Amino acid sequence: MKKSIYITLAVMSMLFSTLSPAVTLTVDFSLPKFDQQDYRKPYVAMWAETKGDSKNLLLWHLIKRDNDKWLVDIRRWWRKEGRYSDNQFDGITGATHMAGQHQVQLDIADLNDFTLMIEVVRQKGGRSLVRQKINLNDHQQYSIAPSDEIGAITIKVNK
Amino acid sequence: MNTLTKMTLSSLTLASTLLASQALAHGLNMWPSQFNINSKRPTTVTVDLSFSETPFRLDHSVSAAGLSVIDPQGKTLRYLGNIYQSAQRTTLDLAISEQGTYTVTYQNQPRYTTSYTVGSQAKKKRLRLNKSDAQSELPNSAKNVVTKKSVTTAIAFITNIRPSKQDFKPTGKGLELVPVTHPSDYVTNDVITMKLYLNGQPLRNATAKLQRSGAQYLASNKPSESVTDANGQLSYQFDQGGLFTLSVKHSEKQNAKLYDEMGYRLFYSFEISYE
Repeated sequence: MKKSIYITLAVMSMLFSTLSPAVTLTVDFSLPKFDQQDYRKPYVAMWAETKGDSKNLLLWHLIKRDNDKWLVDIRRWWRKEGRYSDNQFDGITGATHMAGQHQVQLDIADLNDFTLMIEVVRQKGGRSLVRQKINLNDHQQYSIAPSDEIGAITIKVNK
Repeated sequence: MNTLTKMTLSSLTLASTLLASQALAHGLNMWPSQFNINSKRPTTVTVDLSFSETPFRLDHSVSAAGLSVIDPQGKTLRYLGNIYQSAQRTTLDLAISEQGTYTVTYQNQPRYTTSYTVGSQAKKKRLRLNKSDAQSELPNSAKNVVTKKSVTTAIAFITNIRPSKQDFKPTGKGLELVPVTHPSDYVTNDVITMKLYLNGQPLRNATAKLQRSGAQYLASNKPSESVTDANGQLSYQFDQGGLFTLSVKHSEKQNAKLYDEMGYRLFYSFEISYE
């Protein structure tokens, strides 16, 4: 499943490369293990915020629900992005993932100067909201310290 | 000393009239189970109503007749949903079928109170009658006769998925609270603004009291007070999320056929989301 996403992404990036240089972000992060019997895999959302606008980049949730009422609990994401998407998150949605190391590619299109937001919410668990200012003309790599619901994050710019 | 005795006397009178209509002096709480939801399919949001001294602490149920709901298109709903009245609360299972912001309002029937004093000690008495009906009931020795008409209103906003873009506007009738910041955007650390109107005009210098739910568990349950500015606006910034109630009392002299004074009480429940 994950592989097919990567292949699709690779094919897509090849297609788009002829049109314009597609800028992506590679985000490496871990979801911590919690030693609890009723552990549920967390909801993860990533999006870009610019002044007065936002762009959805990734959403991991219970995709089997076509009417997922719990999306409102990804609080900032819901307010900035979720509620304006008419529950159509094509291309960026995936199922929730197990604890462990993860790598995702985010297509940021023509964004250049923005704040990358990462929100992780876990049922019977906590919530983390992480923000990182990103300027493509500035640094090409960013590191973010771990917090309750998400481990250390590294973000790489692929131009 | 004299004022103290008078105060004790008046509070005694108050206590006895409270027995007759306990609910009147209490605050009106009206709050939905959820303020922001995500449902493409028809769903239900439960709205509770209760008159009580402490916010959100159930005490007395209310008559369901005062409920009205405006849907995201601005239409007044004909069918609100099932309504239950139990001993301490009234519950509306509000049927939500549209995307956008619903406005839930409760307003009671106006009440008239004619108060007067009798005897050398100026004992305070009250009648639940308007000015003309009170004439035949008032003793000849009644002094300081004043009739007050009072209206109590509660409002709350519920947003399903996308918040409505419509501007909130006053209807021009009575005391109203109109959101400036959309209620679905209430988050910690942001400046949240709302505006008070009296008969369509901004209400300046009005005192608003703000209380968070769970006041009964705090060291002091004294509400915080703020005053509307020259535009009738109130602005808040919250460092903690929670369920809040804002209450405003206003009254003014009026030369009407059935009353001398018009009194309004307004209660606005809202949620601050922690971000």
